Amino acid sequence: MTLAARLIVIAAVVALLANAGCATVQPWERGTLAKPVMAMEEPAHETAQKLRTYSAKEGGAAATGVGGGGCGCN
Amino acid sequence: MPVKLDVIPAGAGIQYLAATASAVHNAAEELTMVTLYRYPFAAMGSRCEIRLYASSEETAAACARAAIDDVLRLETKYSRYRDDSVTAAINRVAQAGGAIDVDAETATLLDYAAACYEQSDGLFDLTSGVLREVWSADRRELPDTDTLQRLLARVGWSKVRWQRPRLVFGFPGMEIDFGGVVKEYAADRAATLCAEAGFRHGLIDLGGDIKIIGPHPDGTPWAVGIQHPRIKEAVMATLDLFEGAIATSGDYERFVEIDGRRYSHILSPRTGMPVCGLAGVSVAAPECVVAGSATTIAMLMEDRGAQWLDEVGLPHVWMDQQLRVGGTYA
Amino acid sequence: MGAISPRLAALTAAAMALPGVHARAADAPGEHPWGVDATHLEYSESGNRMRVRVNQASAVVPIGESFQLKANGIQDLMSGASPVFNAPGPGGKTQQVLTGASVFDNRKAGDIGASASIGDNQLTLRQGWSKENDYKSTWTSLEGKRDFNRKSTTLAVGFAFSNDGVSSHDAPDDFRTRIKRDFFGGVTQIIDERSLVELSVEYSYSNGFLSDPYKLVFVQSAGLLRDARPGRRRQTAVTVKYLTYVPAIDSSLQAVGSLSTDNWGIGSGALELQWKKELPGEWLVNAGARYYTQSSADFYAPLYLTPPGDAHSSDYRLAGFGSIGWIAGVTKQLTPNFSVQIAAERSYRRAGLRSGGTGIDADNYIWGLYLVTLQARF
Repeated sequence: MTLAARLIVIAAVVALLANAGCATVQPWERGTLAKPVMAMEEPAHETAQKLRTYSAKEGGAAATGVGGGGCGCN
Repeated sequence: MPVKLDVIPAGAGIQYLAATASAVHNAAEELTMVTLYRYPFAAMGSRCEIRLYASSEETAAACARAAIDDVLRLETKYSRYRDDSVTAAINRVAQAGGAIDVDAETATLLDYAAACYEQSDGLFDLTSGVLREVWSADRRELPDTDTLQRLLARVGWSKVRWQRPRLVFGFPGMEIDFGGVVKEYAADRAATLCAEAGFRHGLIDLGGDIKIIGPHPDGTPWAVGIQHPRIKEAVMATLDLFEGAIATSGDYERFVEIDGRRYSHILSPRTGMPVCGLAGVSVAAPECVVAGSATTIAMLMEDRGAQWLDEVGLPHVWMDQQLRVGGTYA
Repeated sequence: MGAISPRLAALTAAAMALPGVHARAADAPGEHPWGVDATHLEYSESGNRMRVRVNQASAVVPIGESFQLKANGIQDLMSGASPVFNAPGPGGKTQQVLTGASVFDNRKAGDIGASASIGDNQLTLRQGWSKENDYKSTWTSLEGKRDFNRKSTTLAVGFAFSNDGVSSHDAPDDFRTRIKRDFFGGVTQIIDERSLVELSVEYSYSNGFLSDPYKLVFVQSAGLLRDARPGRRRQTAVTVKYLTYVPAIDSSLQAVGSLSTDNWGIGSGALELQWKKELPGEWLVNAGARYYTQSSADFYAPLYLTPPGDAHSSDYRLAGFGSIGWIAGVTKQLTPNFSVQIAAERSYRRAGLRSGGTGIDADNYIWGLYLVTLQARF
C-alpha cells in the first residue's frame, strides 16, 4: 500500500469516528457500560496470548498495544 | 402523558426497592464479601439514613459516624433555631442593617445561591424567609395584601450586596435562610466522605435528598421510588440510579390548609403567596445540591416548571395538579 | 442527551466550587485489588506439525492508592515438525519439506512492570526477558494513559524497545542482533450509554538480522539457499474496535477491524466479531469468528526457478494466505474471589482465502488451541 493510500485509510476512519455523533453521557447513564460484557480491555495476559499466537503465524502487524517482546517461534 | 400508578405498599417518604442481586460480579471491581449496613438518624428536621456496603461492621460504623457528624455540624452551623449558628449571626446583622464577613464555606454557599437566583430568574431567593411569618401551619385565613406588600419590601436578593467575603444589608429587617441548600450540600459531603474512606457501594438519604456513593456490589442500580404526591401508599415513578443524586420537592410535604384549600410551604418571593404549579417533582443530577435546587426552582416556576426543567436538561419526573405525569422518566 | 444546557452548566460550575461536593479524582483505596492469574494453554497444528504447551502466571500487587506492581512468568514447551523449504513434487505440485527429527525447545520468559495513577493520568513501565536455546530477547515499554471528559475519552500512547539475539542449533552461541522499536497511539471514546469505539495506530521499525536461520529456499538447478530478508522492516497498522450492548439479546457485540502494511510488501487485513453474554449463576459466555488475510512479501516465492535477488524467502508466514476461524469461551465465577475461564480457538489457514499475493496449498494447515485460566482477586 502506498503512503497516500495509508493516509486515506486513516483519514477515513477518523472521519467516521468524528461523525459517530458522540453524545455527552452523564454519569448516571453509564450503568450499561459497567456490565462485565462491556469490558473492552481484556486481561493483559489474554491480549499477550493472542498477540503471540497471531504474530507467530502471521506476517501482518496487529495494533493491540505495546510491549510483549518476541519469541523465536517457528 | 398517561398516569402510571404503581400501587406498591410503601410507607411515607422515599422507598427503596432493593434490586434482587442477579449475582453476576463486575469482574474488574472488588470481589470481597460485603454486607449492607444501615445507619438511621434524625437531622435537619427529617428522617435520614446512611447505607453502606462494607466488609466489616467496624469500618462501616466509623465511616457512618464521621458522615453523620458532618451532617450535624452543618445542621448546627446553619440552623434557624440556634443563637450560635452562622445563620443567626448573619440575621442579627440583617435585622439591624449592616455588613458581615462570612467564612469560606458560607461564601461558596452564597455564591451557589446567587447562581440559583440567576438561573431561576430571581425566584430562588435566600431572603424569602421573612414571608414565613404569615404562613405558619396554624394559620386559618389568608394574609391580606397590605401585610404581604410590607413583607415583600424586605425580600429580594437584589437588595443585598454580596461581594466575597462581605455581605451587606442596605436596610434593616431582612433575613437569610440557607434551608434550601444545606441539606443537599450535606448529602454531597457525606457521600464524598464515605467515598474517600474507600466505600464504593452505598448511599446517603437525608429526608428524601439522596446522593449515591455507588451501586450495589453486583453492579445493579438502586431502585428509588418517588412518593406519589396525592396517594401516600403509591409511587409516582421508580428510578434506577447507578450514581449521582436525586432530590424531590412537592406541595404535599408541608402545607397550610385554609378554607379547605392546600397551600404549599414554598413561597414565591414575587407575590408572597405559596406557589401553585407542580404537585411534585424529582430531578437527578451528579450533585445533590444541583438536583435539590432544580426541584425547588421547578416548583417556584409554577406553570412554567415543566418547561424550565426541559431547558435545564436534567433527567426529571413531575406530576401536575391534574395528576398528569411528565418528564424524562415518564 | 446532547450538550449540557447553559443553565445546568452555570449551576454545576457553582456546585463544583462547594468543598466536598465531589470526591477527589484519585481512586479510593480498594479500587486496585490484588490479583493472581494462572493459565495453561495447548496449541497444535495439523499434520504432526508444531505443538506448544504454555504455562503462565501473573500477579498484580497494589501499593498504596496510586501504584501497582505487575509480574508475569511464562514457560513454553515446543515440539513437532516445522517446515524448512518448499520443493517441486510429483505432478508439478509444490511440496513442503519439514524438519525430519522432532524439534524440541523450552522457552522461559518473564516481565515486571510498575504503574502510577495520578488523577486522570496513568503511566506504566515494563521490562521483560525471554530466553530459549537459540533466541533471547530483552524489551522495555512505557505507556501513558489519560482520561478526558469525565472518563468519556481515553488517550493512550506508548513506546517499546526490544533487543533480540538470534542464533541457531548449528552455532548456538553465535547470536545475531535484531532491534525493534514500537510506537503506539490509541483513543477510546464512549459514544452513547451503551457503545464504545477505539481507534489505534501502531508503527514499528526493526533492523538487524530479520531472517529465519532455520528456513531455506529451493532454487532450481542451484540447490538450497538460506532464508535472507531485508535488514530493515517498517510496519504500520491501524485498528478500529466497536463495542456495543444490544438490549434485545442482553449481550454485547464487538467488531474489530485492522489493516496493516509494511515495506516488505505484506499488506494484511483482519476482521473479528465477538458476542458476549452473561448468564444466570455467574456465567459469562463468548463466541466469535475471525477472518485474516495477507498478501505475500515482495521477496517471497514458494520456490525459485532462477536465482533470486538479495532478499528471498519461502517462509509460509510471509506467503499470501487467508485464514478463517472461530473462538469460544466460558467464564464462571466460582467464589467471590475466584473465577475460571475455558476458551478454545480453531483456525483454517488456506492459500486460497487470500485477497492478494502468492501462496501454495502445501502450506495450508489447521491450528487449534485450548486454554484454562484461574483468576484470583482480593
